[in-house]
Amino acid sequence: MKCENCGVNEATVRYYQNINGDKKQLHLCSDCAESLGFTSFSNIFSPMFLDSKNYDFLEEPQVCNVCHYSFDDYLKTGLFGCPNCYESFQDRLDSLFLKLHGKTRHVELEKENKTKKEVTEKSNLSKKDNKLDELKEKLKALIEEEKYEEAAVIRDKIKEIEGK
Amino acid sequence: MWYKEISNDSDVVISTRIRFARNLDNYKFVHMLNSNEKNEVLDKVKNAINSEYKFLDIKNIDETTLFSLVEGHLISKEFAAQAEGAIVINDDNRLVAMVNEEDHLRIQAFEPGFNIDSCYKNIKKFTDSLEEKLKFAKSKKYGYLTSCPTNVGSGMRVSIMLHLPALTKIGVISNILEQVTALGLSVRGLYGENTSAYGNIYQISNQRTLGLLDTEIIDKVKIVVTTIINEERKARNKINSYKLQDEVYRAYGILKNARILKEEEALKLLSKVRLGVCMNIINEVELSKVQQMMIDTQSNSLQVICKQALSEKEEDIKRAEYVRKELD
Repeated sequence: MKCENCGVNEATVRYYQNINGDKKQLHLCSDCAESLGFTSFSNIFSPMFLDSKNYDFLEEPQVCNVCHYSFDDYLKTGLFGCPNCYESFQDRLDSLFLKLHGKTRHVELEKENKTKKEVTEKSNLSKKDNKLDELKEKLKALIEEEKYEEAAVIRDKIKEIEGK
Repeated sequence: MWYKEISNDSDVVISTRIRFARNLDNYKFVHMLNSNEKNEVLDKVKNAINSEYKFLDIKNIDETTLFSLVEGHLISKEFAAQAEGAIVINDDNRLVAMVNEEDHLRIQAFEPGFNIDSCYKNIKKFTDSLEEKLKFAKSKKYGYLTSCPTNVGSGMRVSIMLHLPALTKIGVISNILEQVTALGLSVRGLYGENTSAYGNIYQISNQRTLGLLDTEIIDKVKIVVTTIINEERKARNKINSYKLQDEVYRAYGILKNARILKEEEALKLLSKVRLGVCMNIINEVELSKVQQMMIDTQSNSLQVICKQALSEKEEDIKRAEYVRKELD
């Protein structure tokens, strides 16, 4: 089917409208849909998932490359399979550890980070990065906990820092 | 054995325990190992300990003895129930390690009373000497890696066993325990269900293990437990009365004369007598003796002492007999 607006491109976007029972259906190509402002609907949710790259891990089941234990197995048993699981599942550990321990790193590294922070105190740039990483971690955890209102506040802070 | 000794704050604190969870590098966690691999872990640990410590394969320990160790809080119920594993233990039971429990190594140090520092010194010494010979699974990011992520990082759990009859009696115990939980420590009643704990014995431990120095964990437990000790003492002063003295002596009277004693009843009565002894209401019996009886009147421990298997009926009679003899 051709786009009902330009009549040239293949229609890839279907738009439904229902105003007081008056139903309407439009078939549009993506260019026209965008120029008519219809794609902005999907953007309603996008700020919640700030960076879709971070969620790649949701697509494939994660399996430890040493013991072949999966993250689902962990969710069932509450146990990891081998020390290497901590490496294999690291994408998901920060939010898990934040819940369990309120911290995400072993103390030795935390101390290192602190001293690093002190050393680079003069350099605004790295200070900004540290803050940014921290906020992004927090955001991820909040989204996972479905605390979207708090997440939105953090998201705005991140935007503000990134914008500077 | 250490649990008969009287030490710092023994009027309120029964015992202190510190546990380290450690795993050998290059091995999967225990629940993923086959029998051969489990034996390899046992051998590695066996070869790493020095002659001060005994290495006991639990296959060679009879069930009653094994569960008497559970009653003395030296090993976990889950560990005693499993088929494979080993116990590393020193002469006075101050150091007890379980091999192939949830982690390859669950090392524990015990002290009577409130003695976190000496506990920590002992466990650290033993664990460091092992670490010279064994490579533990450890990462820069997450510290010591454990089977369950609730233990990752320091792998340390500090647990204090408290006797809190007065706070229970004046009805503020659940409030206090709630506050302790809010501070990030965990609390459980040691006997019976959490809500209807009998014996008034509670265990308080740290919950978080990641991103904290050992000393930070220890300090937090120290502060909270010290506060509770003081509250319990204040509460004891408040409830001291003729009525309480009567209760204590009645409990003592039953223990001294009963011909049939159930396990739960014995513990409840001993809890009252313990309170009476600590408040100087009763002088006929030593605190160390009460402490000992609280452990020894439990089912398996009693059978180990009697050196025979007992039916439930026989057991209640033997228990009464044992208590009468001890109080004589």
